[in-house]
Amino acid sequence: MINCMSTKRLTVSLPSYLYDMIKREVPERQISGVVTCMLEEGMYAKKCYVKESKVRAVDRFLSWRGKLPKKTAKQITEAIRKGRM
Amino acid sequence: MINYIIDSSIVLRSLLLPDSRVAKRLKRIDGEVEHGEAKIYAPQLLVTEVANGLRFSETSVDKAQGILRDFFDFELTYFELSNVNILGILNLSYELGTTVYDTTYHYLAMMLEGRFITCDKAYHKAAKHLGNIELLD
Repeated sequence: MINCMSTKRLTVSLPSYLYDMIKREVPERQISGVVTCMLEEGMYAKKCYVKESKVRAVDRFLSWRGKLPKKTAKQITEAIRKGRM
Repeated sequence: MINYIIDSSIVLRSLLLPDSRVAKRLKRIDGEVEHGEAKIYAPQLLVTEVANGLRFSETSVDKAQGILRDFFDFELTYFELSNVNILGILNLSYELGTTVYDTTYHYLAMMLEGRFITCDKAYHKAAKHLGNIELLD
């Protein structure tokens, strides 16, 4: 997890044993970081929830088209290759 | 069943070009995938290239992350290349005078008897004689 990201608050309900485990094992100031780290891994593994969206990922991806400044083919190629030795 | 191999030029041009032809082609391919008529494959390299392309095209980190997250959900299979594959790619890139990066996608297409879809004119010109490649221009 990268600490400089903007954050938002979310209240969640946890099983008591998990709550007790976190309180027992994780220092108070590190709880958000630990939970974020676990969530990131879990969300990308996608093993513990069913996605509600029926929209194809490609459609969601392409819906960004209207929100981004347009580029030329040359600019896109340069962006992809920037930093390649 | 068609095996498509897509590169970062397709992914990012579908998003950033004013002309929507590449976006429409990507959507058609995804439609074929949805209906079980095709599969999309890519080397792991694709993710890094798309992320780098976003890094130097989009100034907002939040937007770039949102876009990349939607890209992560694409119905595509990442192919893990073996050392033997990499040696083959290196050899082919010397033969064609191309980069290892670009050659990786085409090599995968030839290996999977699929179709490499790219917007990279220079690579297409150097390698089209080998087949398994389609230029979107």
